[in-house]
Amino acid sequence: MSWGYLARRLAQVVPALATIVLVTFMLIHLAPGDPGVAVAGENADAATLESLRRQFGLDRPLWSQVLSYASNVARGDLGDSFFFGRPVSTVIAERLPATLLLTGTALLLSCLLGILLGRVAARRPSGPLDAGVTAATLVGYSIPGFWLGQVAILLFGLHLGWFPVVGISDDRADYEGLARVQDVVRHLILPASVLAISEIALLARLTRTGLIRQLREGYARTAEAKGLAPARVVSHHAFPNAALPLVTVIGTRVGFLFSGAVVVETVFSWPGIGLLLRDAVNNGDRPLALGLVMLVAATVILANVVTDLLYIRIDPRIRYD
Amino acid sequence: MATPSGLLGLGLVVLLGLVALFAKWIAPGDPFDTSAGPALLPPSRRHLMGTDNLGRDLATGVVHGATTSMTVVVAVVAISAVIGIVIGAAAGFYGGVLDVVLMRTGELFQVVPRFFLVLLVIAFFGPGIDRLILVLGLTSWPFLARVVRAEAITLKRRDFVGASLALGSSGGRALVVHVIPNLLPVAVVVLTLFASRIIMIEAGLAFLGLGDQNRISWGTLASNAQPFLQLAWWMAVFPGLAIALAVVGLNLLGDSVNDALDRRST
Repeated sequence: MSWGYLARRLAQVVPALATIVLVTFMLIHLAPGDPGVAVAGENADAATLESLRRQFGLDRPLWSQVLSYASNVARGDLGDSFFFGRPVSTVIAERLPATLLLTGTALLLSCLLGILLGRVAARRPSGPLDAGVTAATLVGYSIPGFWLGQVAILLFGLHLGWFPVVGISDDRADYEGLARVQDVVRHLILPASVLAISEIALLARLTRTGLIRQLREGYARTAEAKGLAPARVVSHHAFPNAALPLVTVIGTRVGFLFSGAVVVETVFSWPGIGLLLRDAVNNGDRPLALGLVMLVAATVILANVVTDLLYIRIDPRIRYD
Repeated sequence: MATPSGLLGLGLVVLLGLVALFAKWIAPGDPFDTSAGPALLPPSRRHLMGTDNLGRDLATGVVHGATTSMTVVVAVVAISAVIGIVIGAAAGFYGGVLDVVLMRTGELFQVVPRFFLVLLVIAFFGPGIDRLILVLGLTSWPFLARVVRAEAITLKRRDFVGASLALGSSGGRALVVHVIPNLLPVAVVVLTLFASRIIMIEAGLAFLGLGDQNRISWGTLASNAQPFLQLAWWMAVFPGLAIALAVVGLNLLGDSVNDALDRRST
């Protein structure tokens, strides 16, 4: 991979980032009232409004307002959350680790189980196992996350009592070291599984379709004809080829993982940025909501770039110069 | 298309449509009526899905929730179908600069994930079904446009389109009379699967407490259930079940129409 390609790929990110800035700027200006009030809310005091008016440069022409807004965003200066009374970036940074733990675990789970299920189903297309997996993935993909969460709480939390159902840790117990890790893991299992279900279903379906297609190819049948064990044909020949499109798909799922996290964090009172965004929107805390959505949008763009680069690295046939 | 799963999907979707259309006749009560019964009654013959914490009848709520869900779905699907088909067909049929401009514009619409864009709009303008429909309708077309564009490119190379042009019809006429009608089946598949996404997004937003306060919605019912999980499982189970059945139905239907199209083309 050449540096030229990397530079061009990164240059493509610019219009996308500009779109985020423009869309949010438009929202601020279209909202009823002047932008200062739109961001700070009706009840903001005069000093806050004055500082916001200066921040948006309302006395200057529109293009200059966009530019100063863009430069503020670029420097990570998103203003103060008026609910917390602290900079938006600080509030987000405090809550981000919990969400990364949740979404990261869900992503890992979905890759492991989704690919495993897909491989099991592809072993004998249209067999009973395949039919079972196909039906299960359809249902898994169709159930809304909050319902799955509520049913999981009812069943595994309240009825069976296996897992705690609220928060990231037990506040009453003062765990240290390993006990604390165990406590967090116990809290993590239900929400991470609930968040992972729809992704597991999607990846299982894609793995299955990809594998079945690859196994029909000449090279796979040759491998089988020369006496290779079917399991080895799958793992050494068909799967590496079927896995390539999966990399792209996993990259495009980042946005879905985040929107899923908003709902799942609400169900389990998981103290991450999803719950923070729900509260920000409900409280009309516009600077915080803006900051969070911009973070998500930027992450989605970044994930697409990373996916592209990864794709080039693992597929020796692709050479962009 | 007449596979068991396709028929099941079709059945569920028809049922959903009928319930949504005739909600007032199926469940004549007011879903917001707090005097329907005592609070937190488990399901019984009188209250098939039980009552909620304010004594509202849940079955009435679930039936009327179908109307809200379907209103959003039909409106969003209609808006994005018109935009997506026109833009996709024009981009594929005419190609050139128009194609590049339209497709690049479509990509920009996908930069901010839909769910979060709606959240922002609600944060700035307050909740409401009108802005939900508008935002989802205006931002959901790019994927459809891309699929339609690919289909239009294959169609314009087909003989019947060439024949129509050779007989002297204008490009615009060939596009409207010959290309667009023939790419509708593919568009229907995309729109069906897309309708299931819209149901999920609407329900998810209402679950977050950001739904239209004047309309009963499945997501709102599920959100009301959250504090009462320990006391009233029925408050959570039935609204979610309705959403899941609606989404399964649409996905089954979309998948089987898609399979039928695949079989026809190979």
